[in-house]
Amino acid sequence: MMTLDQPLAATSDTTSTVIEVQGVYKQYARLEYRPSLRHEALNLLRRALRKQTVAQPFYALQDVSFTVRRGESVAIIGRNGSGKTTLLKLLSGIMRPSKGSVRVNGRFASLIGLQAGFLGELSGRKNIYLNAAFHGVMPRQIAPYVEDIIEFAEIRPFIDTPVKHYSSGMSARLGFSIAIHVLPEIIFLDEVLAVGDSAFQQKCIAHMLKLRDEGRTIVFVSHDAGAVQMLCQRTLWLHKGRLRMDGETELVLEEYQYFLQHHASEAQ
Amino acid sequence: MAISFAQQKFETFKLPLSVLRLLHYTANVAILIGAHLIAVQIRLRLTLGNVLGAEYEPQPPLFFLIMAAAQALAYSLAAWSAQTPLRRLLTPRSQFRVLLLGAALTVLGALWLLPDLSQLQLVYFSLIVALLGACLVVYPGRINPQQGSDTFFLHLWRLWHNRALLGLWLRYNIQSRYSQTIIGIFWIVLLPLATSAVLALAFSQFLRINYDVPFIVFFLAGLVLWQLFSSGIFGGMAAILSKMGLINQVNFPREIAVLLVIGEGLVDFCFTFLALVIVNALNGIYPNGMWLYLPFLLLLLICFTLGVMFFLSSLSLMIRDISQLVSVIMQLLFYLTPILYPVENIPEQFRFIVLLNPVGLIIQAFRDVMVYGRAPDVLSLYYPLVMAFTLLYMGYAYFKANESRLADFA
Repeated sequence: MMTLDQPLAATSDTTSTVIEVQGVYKQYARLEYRPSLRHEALNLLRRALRKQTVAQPFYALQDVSFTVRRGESVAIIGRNGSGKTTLLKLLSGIMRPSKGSVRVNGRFASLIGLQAGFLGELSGRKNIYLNAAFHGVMPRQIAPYVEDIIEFAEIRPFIDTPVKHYSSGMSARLGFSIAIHVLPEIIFLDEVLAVGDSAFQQKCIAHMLKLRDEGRTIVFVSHDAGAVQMLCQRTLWLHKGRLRMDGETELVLEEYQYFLQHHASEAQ
Repeated sequence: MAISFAQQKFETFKLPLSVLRLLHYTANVAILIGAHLIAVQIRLRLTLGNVLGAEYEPQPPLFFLIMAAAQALAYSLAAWSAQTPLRRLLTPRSQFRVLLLGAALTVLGALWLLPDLSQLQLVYFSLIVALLGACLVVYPGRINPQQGSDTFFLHLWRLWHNRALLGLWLRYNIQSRYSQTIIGIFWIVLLPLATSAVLALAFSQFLRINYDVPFIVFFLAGLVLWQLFSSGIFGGMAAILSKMGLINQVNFPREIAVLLVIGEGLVDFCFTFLALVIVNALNGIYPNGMWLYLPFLLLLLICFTLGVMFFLSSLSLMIRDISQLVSVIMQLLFYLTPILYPVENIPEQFRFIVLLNPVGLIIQAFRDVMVYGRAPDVLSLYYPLVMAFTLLYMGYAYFKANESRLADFA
């Protein structure tokens, strides 16, 4: 039987590309564009009447391209609504891009949203098994690690209560703990650290540094400049769905802070 | 690799492109032949125009040969067009739309032209098939072979890899459902028993209709299967909608949400079936050798239900009115299916309604086995068989073609 703690097979090849995003556009079907018979008919009628009602489609992402090599840790920053979560969803295969291509080579675990894909009715322990199964890990493979997961998440007293009674910090901790214990090659994190208290954040960052040194790839969205600086050498700055800057963390963060101070009102 | 992760599909499953194409070609031909067979079965049951006699040969090999040849021609045509700018038009979704259109044309053609298997009919069908085939080079032909995504077999492979998720999820769902209520399973059994008890009173005492077996036995046998079917249909419509939060956050094969519903339906079925067996035994009907047919009948019903569910679950997301429409249709279908009454009571000119309804045919066979202890009419199961498997394949293909759009509809 294969176990979880075998060393990473492909880590020796540190230069290989694990994430490749090329010219990605993502257009959301806005509510008024939801295709329905009635809507189509109305549209036809309007077009026949020469009324220009087809508004500009809304692009959550426009022409985003970048690559990530194995072992790199990349932060994604940007204002609210700049497409960070959409980008993570495209990377983890929850959505497909409208245009362009996304390729992820290697197994990944993604942690998107605060409920982290838990079923509220079930207890924390059952959710550990289920969440591992969502990540593609069999129950018998995760079983030896369940205690470690509970220990790391610091929720032992509540592990048998339904997850719907958890605070957002507790479920985020549990989700994070599961995601790192299934030992994926790539981790996508979406602002999950934000809800944990600072002690837990420190612990997470320490653990992620360890994962990074093992040669795993981390892509994470954060508003916390401190965490970004500690964890990532490289930062992507998304602005209004476009990749505004891609480079050294210090440089990008500096630019971003400057932008926030001086162009905040313009950016609205 | 430390763990055989489900996402790791490209390494674990790789067939040469030519094999994939061959498999897909076969599947396409099979679907069209399936549509044709369904049409023939419908045509045999309708009393319009020239009535087909029993001497009609429903599967002329010549017809299939022409179909396969036209497919092959169209296939090479499309393979050629995949190297031209035309390939932009060959998306899985557009292909599937054309497939639906083609199946519809095939059925209509059969209904219209079947009575005389003439040259005209052969020309008609080969034209349709050629037209279709051009667009039907399903997924592998056009997509970057290195990417290898979106082929039918990859979907199945990925589903197989996630079987643990399905099993675990199903187990937890059932546990939580039965643990939250005090008498748990009893509720599942209560409804069919109470319904059939009340109806038994109404039909055999108030209305004084005579059945050859006790009404409760007769009715319960039909109701048990109908419940499996209708819970699948209603659950299937909500399957994706109710899990939208999860679908927005986690990447897993979406068909698991649909399979979950049929799994729960099956567990319920086990209990209601047990109740049926007990009621039967109380009325002096005991298990017999004919029960060997039951798994087959169940499989037919499940395949048919799943096929419909795959369509409904993704359609109900895009067109929200569907759930209202379906609940009306299901209500009507309940009375058009011989659950309350035996088929023999239907006047000859309305008999075709029952014959067109696969669920009714399956229920009838089920009742033959359960109540009368006789072998079902295997010939009457031919139509549900073709219908079930064709629908299952098409529904699954449709579902998977739309899968990547599901999260957009949240």
